[in-house]
Amino acid sequence: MCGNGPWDSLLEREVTLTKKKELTKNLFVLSFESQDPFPGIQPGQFVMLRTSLGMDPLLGRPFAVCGTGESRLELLVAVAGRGTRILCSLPERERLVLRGPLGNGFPPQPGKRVYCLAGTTGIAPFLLARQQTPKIHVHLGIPGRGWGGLATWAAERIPGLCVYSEDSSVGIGGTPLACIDQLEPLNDVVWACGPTGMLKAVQTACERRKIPCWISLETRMACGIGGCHGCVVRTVAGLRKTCTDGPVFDSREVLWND
Amino acid sequence: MIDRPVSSSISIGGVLLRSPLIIASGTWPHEPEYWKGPICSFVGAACTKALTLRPREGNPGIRLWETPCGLLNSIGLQNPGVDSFLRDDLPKISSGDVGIVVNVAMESEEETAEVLARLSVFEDRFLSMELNISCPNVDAGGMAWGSDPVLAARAVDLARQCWRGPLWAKLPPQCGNIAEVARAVEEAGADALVVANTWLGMAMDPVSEKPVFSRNVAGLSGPAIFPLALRLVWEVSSSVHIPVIGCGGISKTEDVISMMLAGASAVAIGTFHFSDLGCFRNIGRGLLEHLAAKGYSSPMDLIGKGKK
Ligand SMILES: Cc1cc2nc3c(=O)[nH]c(=O)nc-3n(C[C@H](O)[C@H](O)[C@H](O)COP(=O)(O)OP(=O)(O)OC[C@H]3O[C@@H](n4cnc5c(N)ncnc54)[C@H](O)[C@@H]3O)c2cc1C
Ligand SMILES: Cc1cc2nc3c(=O)[nH]c(=O)nc-3n(C[C@H](O)[C@H](O)[C@H](O)COP(=O)(O)O)c2cc1C
Ligand code: FES
Repeated sequence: MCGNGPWDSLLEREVTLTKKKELTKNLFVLSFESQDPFPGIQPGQFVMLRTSLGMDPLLGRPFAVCGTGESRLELLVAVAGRGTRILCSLPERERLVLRGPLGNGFPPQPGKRVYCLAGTTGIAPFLLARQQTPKIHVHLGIPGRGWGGLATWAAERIPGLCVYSEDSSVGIGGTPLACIDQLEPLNDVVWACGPTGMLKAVQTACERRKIPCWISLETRMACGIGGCHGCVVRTVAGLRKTCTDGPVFDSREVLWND
Repeated sequence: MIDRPVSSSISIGGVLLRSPLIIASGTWPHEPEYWKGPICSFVGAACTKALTLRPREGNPGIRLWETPCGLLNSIGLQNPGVDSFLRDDLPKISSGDVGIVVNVAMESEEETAEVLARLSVFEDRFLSMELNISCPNVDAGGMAWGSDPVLAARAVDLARQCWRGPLWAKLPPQCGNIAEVARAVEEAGADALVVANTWLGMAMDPVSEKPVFSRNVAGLSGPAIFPLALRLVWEVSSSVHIPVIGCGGISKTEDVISMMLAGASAVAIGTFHFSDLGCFRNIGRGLLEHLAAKGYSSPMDLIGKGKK
């Protein structure tokens, strides 16, 4: 059971699902309202959201924040399993428990051109980044037309968004990795967020071209606050917790778990 | 209606806790902000992650797997080692107002003796030392120290010689006869028993057609195991004279009341706070309301009442 009065610790709070927008099959933008304002949230920071006030599913699910207002917070959620299916089928006005914002976001890059490479829902942190820094360049990769709803919605929020699709059915054929070849090592940096396979490819490409690169990792999490040691990733500096040391890491440091 | 003051404090073998709610080992960050303030109101003490002599990386591969109302974990004994803990973590966590229970993983006898010698220099910083005897005894073919009364007694006997402060022994839930293990541990000098650690379970990945975890088995915790842990507390507390701390799946006030009625003097909560950091406050408030409604002045009035 969650508390009934105001939370004494704003690390965790009750929120109300105020709006649910379906972008395409199994992909939703969920808006939440809190009684208290959220602190400033950096792009790449995330929240742990429980899918109900009950005990099954037990754990919160991690999601990057894709938009904020004073006491409003937006998440872009793809149905990936049981928890996200429950979450995306909740009616508006449902109350949930949210922990966060958590982790470290993408580090600001004064004087540099920032290229954000996203794989599907990996665009979430860059929607927030764009809200805060209009000058960034965002490149979104999707498998094909099935994700067209995401591309259309994101393009409304990010004028100039570059869309790629693997089957060439939407935007440019291929993946956002294509843009790395045009970047300049001294002036440009890459921020990437998406599936692990994509992040590994971005890491390799940026290393080859000596482009500074930050990647946001996805690992299973139980607590999100550094207590359970469940989310570790191997790095050049030893094991690091994705939740508190990341989720955003300098790509040169990440050695992955396999 | 609260018509007389109810205190939440309890005593466990002479160790005074401001509340019977303890944060279970291996679940709480070693960062100062988690050891003070509102987040810890109603927390009686918090256990550290298990410490070993040398740094340990823990287990590779997937470490967490959610189950219905539960969690399988295969963290292993990841920790920075006792020296690094004493240097980097202890100053941070002792700046707060929550009592520290230092959890020590039973390794070889030599290693454990060395860990306890190093911790002893800081003995006054700890409310108690919790000896985790669910760990494998490498010299005895990897069998858990706590799985057998003779081995368990040997572990606690050794610790008793190296540690003068309060000593709690944390038992594995699955051992031949837990009452026998508990009695052996009591005789070897433990001041209290923590009943119990995670239950061995497993998960299979239908896609890869392989076990999910690199070590095949993993520890099950969370609300799913509560009735199992309650039964152990009932059994163990009927077999020993030292206090028992109930641990396993506690998620609400009723669970704490049940554990205490079954004979627990306090409880430890791990997995549930992963989902709900407000649980200590909610459970604590609920407990006070229950005590007041029943006309009790202390949670100690509940201990073992269900047996009479
Ligand atoms: C920092 C971070 C940011 C994320 N941001 C987003 C986002 O903006 N939008 C979005 O749609 N998804 C995001 N994800 C992935 C999202 O957390 C998972 O899709 C979700 O947890 C799956 O839960 P489920 O119950 O539907 O799946 P199930 O497979 O049923 O989940 C079982 C367990 O595994 C965990 N799990 C499964 N897949 C993942 C995964 N890919 N990453 C982490 N844990 C997983 C679940 O949390 C749960 O504990 C993010 C993950 C991380 C770590
Ligand atoms: C992620 C995780 C890590 C744990 N690490 C330790 C540990 O280092 N030492 C220990 O004695 N118990 C450890 N435990 C066991 C818990 O302290 C507790 O005994 C067990 O989880 C049952 O309680 P719960 O259901 O309330 O979590 C761990 C449990 C979890 C879930
Ligand atoms: S999720 Fe628990 S330590 Fe990172």
